[in-house]
Amino acid sequence: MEENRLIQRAAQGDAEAFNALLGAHERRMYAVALRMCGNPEDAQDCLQEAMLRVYRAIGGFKAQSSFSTWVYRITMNTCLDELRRRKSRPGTSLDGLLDAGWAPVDAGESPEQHALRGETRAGLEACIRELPDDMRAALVLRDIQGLSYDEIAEALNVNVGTVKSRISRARERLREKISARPELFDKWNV
Amino acid sequence: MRCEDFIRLLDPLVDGALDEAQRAEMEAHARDCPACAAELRTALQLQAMLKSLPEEADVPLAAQAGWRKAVRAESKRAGRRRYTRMIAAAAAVLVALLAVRLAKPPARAPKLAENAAVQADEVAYEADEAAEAVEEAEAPMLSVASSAGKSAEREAVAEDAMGFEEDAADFEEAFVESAEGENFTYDAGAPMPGDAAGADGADGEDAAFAGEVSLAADSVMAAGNAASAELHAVTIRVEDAASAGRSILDTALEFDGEATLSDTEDGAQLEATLSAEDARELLEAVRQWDENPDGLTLPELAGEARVTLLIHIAQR
Repeated sequence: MEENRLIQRAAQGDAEAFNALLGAHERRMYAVALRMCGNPEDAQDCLQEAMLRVYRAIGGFKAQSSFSTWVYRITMNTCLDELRRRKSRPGTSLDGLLDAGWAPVDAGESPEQHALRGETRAGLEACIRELPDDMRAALVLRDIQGLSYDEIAEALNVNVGTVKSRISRARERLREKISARPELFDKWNV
Repeated sequence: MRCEDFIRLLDPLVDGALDEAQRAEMEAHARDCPACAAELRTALQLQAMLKSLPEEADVPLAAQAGWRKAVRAESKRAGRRRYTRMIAAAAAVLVALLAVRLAKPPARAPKLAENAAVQADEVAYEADEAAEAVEEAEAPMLSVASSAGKSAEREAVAEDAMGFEEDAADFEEAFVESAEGENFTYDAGAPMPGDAAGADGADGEDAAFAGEVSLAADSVMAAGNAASAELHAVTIRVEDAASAGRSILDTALEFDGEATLSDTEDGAQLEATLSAEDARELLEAVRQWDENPDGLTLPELAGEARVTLLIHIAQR
């Protein structure tokens, strides 16, 4: 059923319409939660919480923004709230993050390349995990989820200038980490 | 171009926001500056690596079922909250009318109206408790109801009751005025039309009223009663356990009962408690998924007795 129809019915409290509508978003939401929370258990909690928040708020959704961006926004807020709630910063260990059922990506690699690059990808996920929360949020939305700067500004409720700055600093930090570990990241070039 | 300009342009470069001229300038600078050339290589490699990271991840079956069920429970709660409000509001009306019919000389009226408000609040609390008990029976693992929401609910109902308190006081005044105008004296102990036969006016009303509220609470509780009896286990083999599990769970949740889906080593397991008749229907639907060459024998089920089904969905 067409998205707008489902949104209307979901807004009236129709749980089935809502479940069908959000079914198309759950894998992306989960991917975001995994990278923000750093482990599957917390990510699943955040996914459920985000879904409930979307359900409670959908009655007020206006068609000005895109539905997808709005869902990203709620997902991000849920994850950032959870991260703020945690007293201690989680360590850099990835706690089951890497085995979490990631969808295969067609990066134009041969199977051998893909296998060899596994370690490097794992290293990169670890580096992303080390970024401060706000920088990580902006980077994940831009360079992994592929949102535009305007969409990210909306999702994070900041202006575009702030988004650009956070992404720029995030990328700079990642470049530093890459340069600091040539033994890991040179493996990419096979 | 200076090095710091070069570095600053790395982001727009990888974002594809530079024009031909700017890109050419950067290339020229990189040719003469090994440090910046290295930065450029790193930046390009970073973008390639980021691009190859997956933007989607499989959600474990239990988590898929979890949020869907939580949303359904939430939508039922919204419906039930309206029901609770209705009960509490109706109860508040009865209590207020009771206060009016018991009305003594005006001096005591405010005290009675106050009691009416307190009782309405207590009734609202009890109805709320009954609704909570139902929720707990239905959604043990997924309760994310905020307690803030609940106390706001209670306040809203108490407010309604307060409104009735004011109305009751007004009503009393009017009644007293008209009564005095007609030289009519009234006595709290005297039976009024409609009183429970043979009972003292006040207690009779109280009993009947309490009976109404507890009846309402009972019917709310009954909805949550899931007395499970026999257990039936069935195994099916499917091409895609994830898909089958979701679909079977959706079907199971259409019926009046509980259903949960969990991951197993070789697929998934659905546990559902329903009436025997509904269980039969569910198994008929499940049979369509089965790809076991030997077919599936289903247990004979009929009637209203509750049964618990364990449907093991094995990945082929």
